Amino acid sequence: MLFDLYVAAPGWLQRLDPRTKLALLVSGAVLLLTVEGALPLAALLAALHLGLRASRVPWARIGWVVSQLRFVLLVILLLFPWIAGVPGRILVEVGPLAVTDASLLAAMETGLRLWGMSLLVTSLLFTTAQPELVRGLVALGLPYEWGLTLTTALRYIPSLARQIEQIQEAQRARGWDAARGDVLKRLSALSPVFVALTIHVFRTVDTLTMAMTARGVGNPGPRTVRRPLRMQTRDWAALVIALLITVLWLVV
Amino acid sequence: MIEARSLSFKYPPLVPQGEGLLVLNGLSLSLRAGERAALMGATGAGKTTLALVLAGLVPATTGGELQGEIRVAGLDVREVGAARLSREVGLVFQEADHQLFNMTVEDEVAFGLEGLSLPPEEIERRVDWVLDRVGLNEQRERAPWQLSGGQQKRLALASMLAMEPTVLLLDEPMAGLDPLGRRAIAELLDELKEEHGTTMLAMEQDAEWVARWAERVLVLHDGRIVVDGPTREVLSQVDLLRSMAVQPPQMAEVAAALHLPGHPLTSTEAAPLVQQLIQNARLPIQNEPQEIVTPLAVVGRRSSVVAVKAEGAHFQYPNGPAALNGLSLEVREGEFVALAGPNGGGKTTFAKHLNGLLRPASGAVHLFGEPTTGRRVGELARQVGYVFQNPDLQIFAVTVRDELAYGPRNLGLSENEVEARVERALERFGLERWADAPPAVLGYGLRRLVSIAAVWTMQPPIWVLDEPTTGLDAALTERLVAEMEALHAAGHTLLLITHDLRLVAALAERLVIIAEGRVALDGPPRAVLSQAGPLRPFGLRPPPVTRLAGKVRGLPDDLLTVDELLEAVGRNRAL
Repeated sequence: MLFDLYVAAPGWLQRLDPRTKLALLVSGAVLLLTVEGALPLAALLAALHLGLRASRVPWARIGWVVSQLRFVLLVILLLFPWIAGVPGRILVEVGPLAVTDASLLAAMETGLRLWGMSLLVTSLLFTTAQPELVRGLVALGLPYEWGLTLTTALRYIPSLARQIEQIQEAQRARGWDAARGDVLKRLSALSPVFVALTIHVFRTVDTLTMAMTARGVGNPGPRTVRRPLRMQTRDWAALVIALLITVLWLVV
Repeated sequence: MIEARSLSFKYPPLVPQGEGLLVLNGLSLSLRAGERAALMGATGAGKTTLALVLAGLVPATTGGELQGEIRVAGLDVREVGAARLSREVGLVFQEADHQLFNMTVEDEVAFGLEGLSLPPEEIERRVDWVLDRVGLNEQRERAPWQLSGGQQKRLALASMLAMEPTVLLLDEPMAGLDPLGRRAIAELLDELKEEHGTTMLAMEQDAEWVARWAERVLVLHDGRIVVDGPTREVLSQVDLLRSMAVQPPQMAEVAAALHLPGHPLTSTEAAPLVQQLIQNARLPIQNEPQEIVTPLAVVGRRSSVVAVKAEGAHFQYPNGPAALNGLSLEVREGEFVALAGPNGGGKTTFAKHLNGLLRPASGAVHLFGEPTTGRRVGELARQVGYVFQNPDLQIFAVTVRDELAYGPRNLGLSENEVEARVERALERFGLERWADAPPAVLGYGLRRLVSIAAVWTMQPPIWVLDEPTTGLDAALTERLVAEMEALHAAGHTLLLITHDLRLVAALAERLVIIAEGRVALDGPPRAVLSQAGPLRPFGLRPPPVTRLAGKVRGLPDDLLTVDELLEAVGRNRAL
């Protein structure tokens, strides 16, 4: 499982301020939701792919998005045309249901939009380290405590996954056999995992509270930031270009 | 700098209407500025609680009743609260993992500094300085949880040092580290004592380290400081320490038994004194090594049955380097084998191959002549019992009784037999009182016993024990040693993973050092431990008594225990 999608490479997107990237995300979403036609959408998606690749995100990572979506996309392509009911030339007809060429195109558009939106959101995660993203959100007005909670939660996902793995290992070491037994038996084997995990989470929360307090969380007075976010020329340039494209598209 | 008067602390009760645990009971303590003290005491004596109380975290985060007065760095702890206190008091927790909560090493260090409202340039300067100081500059972009245990400890220390505390509290700085990790932390703490004039208090069980580092030792017992004095004086009171389950340094034991003057604590200090003792007996020095009777009947008991056999086993974790790199090892039935070596060298990975938690990518692992490949975990669990390093990851049942019944039930034993085994285990491990209690709320020592009893009820012929003595005091270690000896005597095959070479010297018939996924050294402890040279690359050193023997003319070089030394000296004197 992938927990941290960030690609640490000196790509152009990685170098942008997280706030700029959030703005790019918004304008990209506006384009994806307003552009019509399968071909223009495909072009937009292709541009997104190239932009990510130019920012040194490996093809494998970019392709991961569509591989996660493949079943949903398949379902959309196979089922959506039957119920879309867009009038046009009839391609296939079964009883009261029919697939027209226009419905098929509409299904493709929906599929491309979904793919595009997913890629857009993950591209923010591909090119922004989690702490930086949170710093960006805090700079945009998210309360610091919320930001801290968010980063901590993100940081503890892999730790929890590891814990579950270790508890199951302990069970197997004492003869629990996952390969044997019916569904009911397997489900009942989960209850000790739950017990142990709960205990573990409570312990972790206790220690974490202490560790954070020991480093001054809850101290009155303003916090400073080691690397305050500063908009660079390239950030302003990217913002202007994105704004121009979006506005031009919406107006023309 | 630290001033505590008549401190009493009681944890909140675990069940409503219950009685809370009284941990501190009228404790008084006073540390001057710049002092470097160690606090020792049995497992569960309250060392960690005291550290948390001094840092203002208890009872603020745990609840409970605290009485008495505490001033640390001129602040009234109970009045100002932990957050304010964090500007003056640094606390390095025992479990390094849980006190690191940032995404990268440099963010971890910067976190506390941002809270101090320092300007960005100053934060940057301190991050650079402190990471350089603890040798983690290369790792600054990595995630804390990707670091080794030793590196995590150093990072935890760094994030406190960066805040430039006037008082530094260290909770078991040496616990859970491999020899190389320990050495790095020990060197760092040695350097710290030269600079700054920071007041330091370390809660620590490792007497050998305390002997070298601390200038003052306090012992916590029954909720009070019962012994307090200069390191040399305190650590030389061998019987007193043992009565409080504190393991004294090995040289102090030797000095007490031989009535050596001047309270030596290290083998270098003790060597000339022992030399003189032998010479005073006016004996011709015998240069020839003498036959020593081994404490365990090593020879003549080797079975012809091979219990464990690994042949060129290879294993690699996803995205990791090779964890097993063609490891080959043969263990006879009934053998007591200690596995040592650096962390990440493959000890635990190898052990997990025995019960099928992991399978070799190439090569083979055989148990009693049969390969593990293709056999179910449930089947292998019948043959191999595994005591995990962290008991908390092994304990998952709601009551101790259920915990002990879990394994035998999985083996498909009749309910009568399961019950009989559970009753026997409860009695044998002295757990009857807690049979219906949730194991997770018991103290650390008891949790360790539960984790062992839960394997015992399965009666496996082969036992793997992964660092079972970590965090245990002298009394509990002795208890565990007796248990292992009993298993060995009953003919079980034992594989003990440990960094404690004193334990190896006293117990094991064979010592195997595993490094870089292979067997690096293999032989009887007497042969492996008596040569410092080959051990050095693994950060290992022979036990103090073996080092002492090497420095004294007339003693055989391969003495392993205090008893052997006393016997050798006694014979020299008697002749």
